[in-house]
Amino acid sequence: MVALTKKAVIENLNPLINLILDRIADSVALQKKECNLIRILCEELLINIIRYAYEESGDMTVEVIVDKEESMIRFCFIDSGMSFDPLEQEKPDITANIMERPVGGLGIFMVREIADSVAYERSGNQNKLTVTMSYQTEEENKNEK
Amino acid sequence: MEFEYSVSNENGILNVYLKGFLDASNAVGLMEEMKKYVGISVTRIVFHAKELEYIASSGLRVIIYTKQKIGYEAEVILKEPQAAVISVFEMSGLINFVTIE
Repeated sequence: MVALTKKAVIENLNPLINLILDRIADSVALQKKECNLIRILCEELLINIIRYAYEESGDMTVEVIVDKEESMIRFCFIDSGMSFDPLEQEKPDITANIMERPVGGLGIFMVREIADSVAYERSGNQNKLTVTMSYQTEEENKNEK
Repeated sequence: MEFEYSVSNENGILNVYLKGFLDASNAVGLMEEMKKYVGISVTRIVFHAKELEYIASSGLRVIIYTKQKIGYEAEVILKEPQAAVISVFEMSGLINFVTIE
């Protein structure tokens, strides 16, 4: 397991995501489309921490575990900000006419679409959001080609 | 991650050229640019996406805003999007409200 921490400011969004992808790449070679989905998933959850977790400033931490037996990656997004469960947000109606859509609300929806599982926990003074995502093995990649 | 954009209005067609990674850190700039066009009359809004490598909810927010505030009577075109971008539009349901060319 690797834990990556940066100050929760917008300037650190991409550096942290790039670090996450680099650490995953140390363990497993993912397809470009899987890396893209991971980037989206991380962005949507980290931007919530950056924008809303802290009144002043604080850290954002992502713990990453690559489970090669299960062909799955487990992420845990952690902050010490105010208690906030993003899963309690109302799900956007993606069938709604574009003229009636609220401008926001899509971030967590996309996380749910990408991830196999999403779970929130308030632990002490921390928000912890655990997300799992399965990936295609090299064997499966070869069979596809 | 690099992102470039340019916007031009020609005869009622708003052309928005997108290149690189449209993420939460740079979507704000694009949104501010689009706000300048609120109130103009457009028949088509074309997002030129051939060189757009990445989009997430912040970028989709700009697309929705553009349609709602500028192009409420206009057709919204997504021109030559890459597979990664198409999948995000599909995931979010916005694929039903744009025309892919």
